[in-house]
Order: sequence, then C-alpha cells, then structure tokens
Amino acid sequence: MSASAKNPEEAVWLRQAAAGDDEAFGRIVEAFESPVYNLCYRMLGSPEEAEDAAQETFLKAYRNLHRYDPNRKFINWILAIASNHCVDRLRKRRLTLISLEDLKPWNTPASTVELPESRLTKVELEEDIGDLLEELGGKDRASVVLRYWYDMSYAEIAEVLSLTESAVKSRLHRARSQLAERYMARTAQPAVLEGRRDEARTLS
Amino acid sequence: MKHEPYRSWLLQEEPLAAEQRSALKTHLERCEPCRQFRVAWDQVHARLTEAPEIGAPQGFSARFVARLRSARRGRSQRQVWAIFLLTLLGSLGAVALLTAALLNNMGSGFAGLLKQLLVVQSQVSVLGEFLLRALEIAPYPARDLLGVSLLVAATGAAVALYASLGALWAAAVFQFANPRLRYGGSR
Repeated sequence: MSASAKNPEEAVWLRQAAAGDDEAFGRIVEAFESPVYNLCYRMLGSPEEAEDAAQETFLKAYRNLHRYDPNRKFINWILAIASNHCVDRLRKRRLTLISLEDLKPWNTPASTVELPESRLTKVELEEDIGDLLEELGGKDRASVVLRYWYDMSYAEIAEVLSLTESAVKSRLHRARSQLAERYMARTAQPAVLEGRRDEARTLS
Repeated sequence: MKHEPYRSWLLQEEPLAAEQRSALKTHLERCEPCRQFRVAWDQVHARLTEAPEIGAPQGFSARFVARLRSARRGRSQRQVWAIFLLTLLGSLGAVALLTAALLNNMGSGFAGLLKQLLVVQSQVSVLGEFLLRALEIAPYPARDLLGVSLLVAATGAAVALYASLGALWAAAVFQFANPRLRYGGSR
C-alpha cells in the first residue's frame, strides 16, 4: 500500500486554497479523504469515529493552511494532523467510562475495497487486524499504520509523529513484538478463535 | 533458554548478516517458543500487508462542506459577541472613570451640575411663590411641592435621556460588530 502519489494539480489547488478559494480546498478534501479516513479508522476502530476524526482533521488543515510548508509533502502534513488528533482521542477514550457496547469497537465499515483472494474473509481480516492493533498504544499504533498502510520511511514517520528516527525504530520493534505475542496468546485458545470465525462468517 | 537477540532478528526489516542467519536457524531448531513466535509474526505481517486502504464513505466531502459552514457560523457569532462585550466594557470603564473624575472635582462637573440644578430649583420656587402670592390662590406648602416636582422631573428626564443615549449607542456598537447586520444578508 502506498501513500497518495503527488498530483501535479495538488500544488495549484493548495495555492488557491491558501488564497481563500474554498472550491480548491474541496478538491483537496476529495483527493485525500480516503488516506485520511483510512488512518483514522485504523487508529480508532469505528467508522463513525473515523469519519468524525477525519472531518476534524480537514477542518484543522483548513484553519492552518497558512502554516503548511509547500516544500513538504502535503500527505505527510495532513496525516500528521490526523495522527495527532487520533492519538489525543485515544488518550481521552482511556480516561472515560465505556459502556458494554463499546467493549468491541472494531466495526467493519460499509465501504471497503475488494480484497484479493485470501485465506481470510474480508470481515475476518478486518476483525483480526482491529483486534491486534487494539493492543498498541497511540503512537505505536500510528507508527504501524504509517509504515504498513502508507509505506512511510522511518524518517517520514518521525516527521509525522514528531519523534526521532531511533524512537520510531524502537516503537515499531516493540509494536511488532506485542502484535506477535498477542497473536500467539489468541491462537493458544483455538476453541475461542474458531467460535469468533464462525460468527464472522454468519455476519458476512 | 534465552530468546534474544533471535526474536529481534525475526522482527527486523533489514536483512540479516550470514552469521546471524546461521545462528538464528540453529536456535529455531532447538527453541519451540521461538518457532511459534516466528509463525505468529509471519501471520501478523501477512495481515498487515494484505489489508487494503479503507475508502471514505460516500458523501464525505459534502458532509465536510456542511461542517465547515457550521463551524464558520459559530466562529462568526463568537467574534461578534467578543467585539461587542469588549467594546461595551471598555466604554463603561471609560464612563466610570470620567464620572469618578467629575465627582472628585467639586468645582465643576457633576457636582457643579447638581449645584446648578439646586439653584434652578430654588429660583423656580421663588418665582412660583411670587406667582402664587400674586394670584393668592395656593397655600404655602404648594410652592415647595412645585420646586421638588421640578427637580424630580428634571432628574428623571436627565436619567431617561442618558439611558436612551446609552441604549442607542450599545445598539450601534452591536450593529458595527456584526458583519451580517452591517452589510445585510449572509456572508
């Protein structure tokens, strides 16, 4: 998976949007809504929360467009806003009481790209990933999402998350280890896992 | 049995050196937990690399435009109230300072105005007494009642005038602060 390729019209839209052209900003929203939404969904696990977070991301970008440095990739800048916003939400989420309905926030969104043929169904794959990512803290989760969904280098991830490169490497290493440990713990309970897979097949 | 650095080698993205690959292979032949760890990481890695980018739901851009308009309206209203309240408080503060300065100066200003009103009241009382005596139609207390009534009426008129001017000024400031009222229609 790669980040959105740089569109030559993007620079024109950004200049126009910075000058106050709302239609130009609308075109930017259309061009980047999917990468931003995907990051928010992977971070927060709920389609409703992901949309709200993505909308807030674009609002913040709109208000701070005068601070955007054209020498920087716009996708990195806007994903930085999205990541920080989602990390803040996760932090607040940990401080609020949750109801029983919220214990399993990972809901498969309605619009997903068709998967290539795989051992797992679409629902199973999304549930699996959601369950695995839930293990990780905010910035660790963001590091994994930026690495695996946006093919960002350590340097780019460091720039997006305001970390050093060595901190990014350390976080990714720790996150991978936690994900593998979590997978091992899950597969150590085969009866429970099989029950969840059957439920997923019934729902899909 | 120690599992490091073997598990770190399994997780790292950079290719291993030949000696590391050999050491890892030997360790995995002897360590069941690390073999399970490798299988687990392979499965996780496959999931992370297979999962596609989730597209934004239909209508996302249109909903953003609506949210942007709503945010602008809210911001505009807050700015109007902020300008209005700041101007009002600043002006009231200036009036309070001016009034305090006038009260402190007994030779002129408000105290002087009050003295003038009392002088006018006593002059009106004298004039009224003269008229009443000349006409011989009213008893003695009426001349005091006339003077007091005049003073009350003058004070009431002054307060009403001051309050009306103040309300008119506040309305003007509010209209100035609100661009919609200034230019008419929505922006």
